[in-house]
Amino acid sequence: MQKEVIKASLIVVLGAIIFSNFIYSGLGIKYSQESALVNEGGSACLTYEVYNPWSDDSNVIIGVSDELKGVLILQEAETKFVPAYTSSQNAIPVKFCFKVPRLYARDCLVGNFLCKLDCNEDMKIYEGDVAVRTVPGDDVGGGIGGSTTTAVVGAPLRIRVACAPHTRDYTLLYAFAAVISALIVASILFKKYRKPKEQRIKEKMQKLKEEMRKTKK
Amino acid sequence: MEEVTEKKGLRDNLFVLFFGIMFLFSLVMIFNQGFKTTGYATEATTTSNVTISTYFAVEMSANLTNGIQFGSISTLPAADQNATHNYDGVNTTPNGTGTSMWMNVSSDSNTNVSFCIKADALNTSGGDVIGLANETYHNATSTNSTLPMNGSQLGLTTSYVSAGPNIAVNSRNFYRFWLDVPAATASGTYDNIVSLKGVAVGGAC
Repeated sequence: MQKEVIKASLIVVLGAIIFSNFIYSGLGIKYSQESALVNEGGSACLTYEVYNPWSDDSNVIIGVSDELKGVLILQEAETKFVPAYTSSQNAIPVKFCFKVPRLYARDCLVGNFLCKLDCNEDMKIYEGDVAVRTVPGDDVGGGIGGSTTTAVVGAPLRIRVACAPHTRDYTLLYAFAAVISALIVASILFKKYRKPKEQRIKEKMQKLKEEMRKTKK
Repeated sequence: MEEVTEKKGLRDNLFVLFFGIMFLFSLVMIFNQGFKTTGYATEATTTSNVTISTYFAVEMSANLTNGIQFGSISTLPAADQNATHNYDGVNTTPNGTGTSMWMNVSSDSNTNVSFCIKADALNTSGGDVIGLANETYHNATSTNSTLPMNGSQLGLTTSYVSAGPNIAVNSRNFYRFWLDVPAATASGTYDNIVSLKGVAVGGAC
């Protein structure tokens, strides 16, 4: 049992050593887009290409600079393994998707409801960059003391947020009216039809009989 | 009595009719609200297309990849403590006195590269901090016993700043790092992360 534990520990240590050799700080970026037009409240995906002409493998991850973090809600960013000797001609695509929140001021009647958007403001433009970084290897922060280093390559990105004007949105009001109408109709029909059909017919006949009796008199 | 009942029945039917219509109207309007168009005119267009790609690759030297280490310091205050790889560039200069920490720009690039640097404060897991201004660096496009130069050192900052503009394809940018440790610094192992970013020449950090 003890031998198995020692064996397993050795495998883990060897694996860590081998894996740490694969993590190396060389990477390249290839891009053909420096700006994007995104609808306010919409999502978009951009694709960059990464490569690694160096002699050691790299693991890289894509992200955005602090300037864009405030405006983009990053939805997915994948870590990519980039083998050694991957030339720019054979660059590997890395996609990242983001969502742009609502940024233009709306004229609302009640809280955030019954709003209209005139788009009188200037187009909102945010500038920053897309940064591809190597995934750091064993952290110097593990106790050796000093600075862990990370290599990053950046591509400029300008996000222009399109504003789509719309008239006042009465959806909430209509929904409210629909619910109230449905409730009223349902309550009337419920009152009317809550008794069994047989009983209702009997009551109707009873009324007719009484009416006929009165008419005869 | 019958008249009252009849009137009630009639009123109920009218109510059902009225609110039924209102219900349907509301549904139609909700549906319609989602399909409002701007009313812009359509026009025929054709596209003209060209794709211009920028690409570059950078690499850290092996000793820079392994981190910037300042060893063990036992006498405080300490000024300009050398990083362990500041002068061990055996393969980088004929006399081996250059630095072995550099950034390399690959020949598989179609633009020169500018390097930028940033870091966070050196701190211990217990929360003791050595202010970032105490960790300094200098960069140069060649290296020997004096370059990068101790006398020209700059403090690291938390935002990216230029640290090697316009490095040509297939060239290197060399770095040295120093650390000042103030007298009142608590004992401990201090760590941080230094990021070196490459951008196409002309781009902002």
